[in-house]
Amino acid sequence: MNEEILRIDGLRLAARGPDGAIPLVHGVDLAVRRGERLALVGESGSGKSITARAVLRLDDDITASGSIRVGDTDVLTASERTMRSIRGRRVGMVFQDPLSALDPLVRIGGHIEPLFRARGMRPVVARSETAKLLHELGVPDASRRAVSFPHEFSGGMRQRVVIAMALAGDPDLVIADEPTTALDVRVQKQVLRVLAESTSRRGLAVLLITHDVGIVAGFADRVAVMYRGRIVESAPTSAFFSDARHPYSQGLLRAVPQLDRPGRLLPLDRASIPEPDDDNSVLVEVGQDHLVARSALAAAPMGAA
Amino acid sequence: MLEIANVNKTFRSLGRAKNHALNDVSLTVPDGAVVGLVGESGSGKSTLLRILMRLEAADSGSVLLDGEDVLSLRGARLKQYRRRVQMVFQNPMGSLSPRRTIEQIVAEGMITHGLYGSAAGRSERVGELLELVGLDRSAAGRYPASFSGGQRQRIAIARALAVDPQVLVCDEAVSALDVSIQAQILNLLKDMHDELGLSILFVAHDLAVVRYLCPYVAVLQRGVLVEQGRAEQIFDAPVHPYTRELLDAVPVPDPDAGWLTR
Repeated sequence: MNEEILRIDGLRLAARGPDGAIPLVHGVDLAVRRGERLALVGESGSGKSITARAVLRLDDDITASGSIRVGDTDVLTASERTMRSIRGRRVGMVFQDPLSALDPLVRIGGHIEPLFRARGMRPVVARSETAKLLHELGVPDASRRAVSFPHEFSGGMRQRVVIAMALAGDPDLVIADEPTTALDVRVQKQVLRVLAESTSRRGLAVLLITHDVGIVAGFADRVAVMYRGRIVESAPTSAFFSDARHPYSQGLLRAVPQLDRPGRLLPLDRASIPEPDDDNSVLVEVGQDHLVARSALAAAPMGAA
Repeated sequence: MLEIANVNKTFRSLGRAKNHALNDVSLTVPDGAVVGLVGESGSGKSTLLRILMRLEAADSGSVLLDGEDVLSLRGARLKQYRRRVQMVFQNPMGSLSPRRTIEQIVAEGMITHGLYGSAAGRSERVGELLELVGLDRSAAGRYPASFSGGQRQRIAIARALAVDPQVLVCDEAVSALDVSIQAQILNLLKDMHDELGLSILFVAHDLAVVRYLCPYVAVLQRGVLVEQGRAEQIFDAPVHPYTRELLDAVPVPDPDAGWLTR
């Protein structure tokens, strides 16, 4: 159970700009264990998406240093050929916008069957496995619907197809980057439930990227909070909600409107958040599996106990 | 008072059944009230706003602003109406011209409607508005590109307020913003309502946001207003199954709530 499917150490990412490299991620450490559901939380620009995308080396205009290990493969030094055996096979990916993740000219089945074929299945088996998987993910009348085109599917159904693509390669880890942000609330809940059920049935680890702390509470076992290119806190979900230590985590939790909590919202006060640097971002253990950037302890001696 | 009464709108496309986008929709926004309109994509909320803003014609029904029939307005009276009802859009990246300064953007409506006389008068007013929405006066000379999403939404609100509107129509005005910024803009809208006595029609899909801002709420499902009433009633004792379903789907930031498996 404690086997690490994904381990990121000292990851630094930079974009190539016209005047040299623009640093975006400044030394991220992160591990996802087998079967674990980890939520990576942060706002736009915090670096959560490019960190996740770096696991599959999806952005070739990003330079990376540090290390990313998927199982025993070092992603940053692996050959392109090795990467192809990781993408879709050992790590599946669910993107935010299902319409741009699907080829409009390829039938639904045509998106999924090749992944089964790549595992050595005969076409007829791949086809029936595809129907079985779509059925499991709640696509009604799956074998008939597999010959439809993406535009004939609703947003929620399309996202189930994208989840099917992530699962068909029989991966150990699924990375889901804001998988329900483009969906209506009812559909969001259905899709998240399908993602939760299908991954736990297979014992898969999930790295879920989201900005919605409500989704974190319902979905994740553990939370890592990213702020300005660094992880500032990581904790088991229950500890995060009951005992968040970093001012940014606390601010994030307070800034969200809740159905049953009236009273004025407290917008995040950026002045109260210590600017993270290499020194104050060293993570310190404050509880079972609960790490927080050293800066938080200095800023809030009350919580340092 | 803004009164929408029995509005119908049908779209037809070749080879398809008629799409009844709005079916006998009636909704009133009293003076100084904040009314939330909730609906999923395809519910017809954008069509209703387009009709309200006179960008689309209704098949039947009426819209009255202080008793005046909005849907038949033309010329100078229509122009007046468009001053009195102002809109804040979802995406502050798309709704501000990148090639105009903040001052030009905020002052444009004043020029169109001949408000605040001289250029100096307008300039002074732009400064006041920027301060009102929590920005520095020096923002006036800069371009949208140098502002964050939340700051741009403040600018969009300043632009809407520049022509002294009576009703502010917000179309998903906070849904493109990060949560921390969202709270600031929600508080700003709340303050603007309290200080200026504006009426607000707040259209959104996020029920928690609507609960925070709106004492009165209407729920639109496939072109039909299935439920409307005081917020406490809608949120604490919803009657329509669709409203209940929507509420049940809102993520609950409490790991013990078992929201996903419930």
